[in-house]
Amino acid sequence: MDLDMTDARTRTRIGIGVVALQWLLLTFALGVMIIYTDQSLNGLIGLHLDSGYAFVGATIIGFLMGATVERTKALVPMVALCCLGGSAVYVALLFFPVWTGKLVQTVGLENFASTRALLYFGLSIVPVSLGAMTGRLVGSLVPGGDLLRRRRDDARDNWWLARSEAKDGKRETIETR
Amino acid sequence: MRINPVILAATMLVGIFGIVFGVRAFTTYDDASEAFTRVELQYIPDSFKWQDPEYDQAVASFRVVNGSSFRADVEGFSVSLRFDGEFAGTDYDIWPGLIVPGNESREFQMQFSVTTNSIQDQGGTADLSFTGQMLVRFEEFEQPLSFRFRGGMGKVPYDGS
Repeated sequence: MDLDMTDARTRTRIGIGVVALQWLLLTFALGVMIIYTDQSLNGLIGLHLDSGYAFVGATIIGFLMGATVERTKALVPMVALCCLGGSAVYVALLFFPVWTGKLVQTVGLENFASTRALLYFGLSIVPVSLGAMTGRLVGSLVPGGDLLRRRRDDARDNWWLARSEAKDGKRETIETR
Repeated sequence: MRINPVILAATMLVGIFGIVFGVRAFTTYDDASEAFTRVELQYIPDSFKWQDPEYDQAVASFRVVNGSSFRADVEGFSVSLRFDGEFAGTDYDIWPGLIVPGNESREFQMQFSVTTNSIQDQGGTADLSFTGQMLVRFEEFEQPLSFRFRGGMGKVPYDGS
C-alpha cells in the first residue's frame, strides 16, 4: 500500500490509529498493574507490587498519553476510559476462571469484582490524570519531535513541490510561513 | 496528535511488558483457581472405631482428594472429636505431613485420645462429630490453601473388636 504522507487525511488516519493502539496498550498495562498491586491476589499470581510503584506506573502511563494527545477535549475522556478499561481488565481476571469453567459465578464474586473495580477506577484516575496533565504540558519538550509533522515538512521542502507551488503563485506563502 | 518516536517507543515497551505480565497473571490465576477448588477432604464413612470399651482411644480414616494437576502438600491437619458438639479429644501426635500428587488421593488414619474425662463415658451414646482445619500448600503458588471442616459420625458404640 502506498501512503501519501503529504495528504492531511492520511496523516490524521495514521495518527488516530497510533493513538488508538497506544490507548489499548496503555490501558491493558494499567489493568495489569492493578492486578499485580491488588492485595487479594497476593501470593496467587507470583509477583506483587507495592502501591507506590503502581502510583508511579500509573503516572507514567498518563504522561505517555498526555504527551501524544494534544487536544484536552480528547485527552479527558481518553484518561477516564483508560482507568475504566484498567479496572475492566482486573474484573476480567477475576472472572477468567468462571469463563474457563473452574469457578462458579456467585453473587459474592460479582459484588467483590464491582466494588474493587470502582475502587481501582477511583484510585487510578488521580495518578493517570496527573501524568496526563504533565504530559500535555511538557510533551512537546520530549526530544524526537513529531513523526507526522516532520514528514509533512520534509515533503514541503522538496524542491519540486516548492517549484510547482511557486509556479502556481503560492511560493511566497510558503516562505513567509 | 503528536507522534513522538521516544514516547511511541516507551509506549511499546510498557505495552509489551503489560501483555507479557498480563498473560502470565491470567494463566497463573486460572491455575490457582483450579488448584484451590479441586482439593477436598473426605471422611471415610464407618471408619470411626472405638479401640477400648472405656472410650479412651478411637481411630477414624480420612481421604484427601487432589483433583487438580498440581502437587498438594498437606502441611497442617488437626481434627478434634466432639460428643454432642462438646470437645472430647483430639489426635495429639505431630502431623507428619502428606503429599498428594496431582489427580490422586491419599488416605490416612487419625488416632483420637479422649481427654475430657467428665464426658468420656458418653462415648458410646453421644452423637459423635469432628471439626478441624487443614493447610495445603502448592509449589506453584505462594499463598497456601487453608480451610475448616466439620462432619458427623452419628452414634458409634464399642463393637468389641
